Amino acid sequence: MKKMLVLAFLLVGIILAQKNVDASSFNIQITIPNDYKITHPGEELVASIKLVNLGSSGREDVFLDYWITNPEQNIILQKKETVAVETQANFVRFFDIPEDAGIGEYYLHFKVTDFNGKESVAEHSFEVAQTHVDRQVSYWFAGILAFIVLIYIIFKSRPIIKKLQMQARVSRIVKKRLK
Amino acid sequence: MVSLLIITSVENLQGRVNSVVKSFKNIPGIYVSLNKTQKSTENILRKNKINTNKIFFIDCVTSEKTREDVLHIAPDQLDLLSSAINAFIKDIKGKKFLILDALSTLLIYNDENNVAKFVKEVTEYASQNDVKVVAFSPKTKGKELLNKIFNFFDEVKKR
Repeated sequence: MKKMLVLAFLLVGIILAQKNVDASSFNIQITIPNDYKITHPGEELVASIKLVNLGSSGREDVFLDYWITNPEQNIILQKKETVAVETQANFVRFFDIPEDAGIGEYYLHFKVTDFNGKESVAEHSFEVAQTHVDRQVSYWFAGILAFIVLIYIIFKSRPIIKKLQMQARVSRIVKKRLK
Repeated sequence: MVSLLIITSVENLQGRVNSVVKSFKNIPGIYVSLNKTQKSTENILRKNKINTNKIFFIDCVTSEKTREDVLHIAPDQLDLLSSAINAFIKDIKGKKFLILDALSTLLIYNDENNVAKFVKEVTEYASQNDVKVVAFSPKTKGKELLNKIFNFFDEVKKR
């Protein structure tokens, strides 16, 4: 009887331990499509998330937390949701990058919390670059600036060029007349 | 004496110029013509039996290019004029002279201070290169300018 009790106790212990291991063993895979690895302020970030429940014991609800951090490690965006996961789940999520986001390397963080409070975390980096319009404006601005500088240089160097031409002419005249 | 300023009446101006140029005989020189065209100046000099073969003219009256060996520089381009004079001074080896006929004309096209600055530059460069400078100015014109440029010349003659 004593042996039976010990055995039963051990069995319950193993089952509970097994359950805990299963619940915390979420494998997370974040993929950001190539087209979105470099995004721009005011545009969208698309991420594909794959959750694999390695110790699947049937369908269970999990809490998902997403947040994005800027290069200064400040959170600029946060989302929460609950999804039901069986053995695995794939989903695509869209995130609006704020208009005022600075350029640099950002991180998309992802956390899965099961009903036992066990957590699995993953992250993926992406880049926020200047918008195409900004870049175009910059190119235009740089182009116009370069043009103005060029005109200024030409304008400023004209008298110098004129002087050099005249000095060369004087040399020719003197050589010719005094040879 | 390296530099001389001759202030004379308008009527005597050409006569004074002729006698000064004649005194340089076969020495090569630069003639900055501010009152007459190069053609007219050269004709007058030739009439007075002055050999102009070794005189390099800078014509500040007309921009019409008649000869390859004559420079035409507008009288308001003092920088260019100064640079041309310096180039001639540099390229003509040995003894040489410089005639400025007549300084007061520059006042029509330039500010008095700019003319004074030009005179200073030219006389300084000439003195460094042992060039005899003779500048002319009519008595009646540009008294203020004359007061400013007196000191740049080694000698001033009023005739």
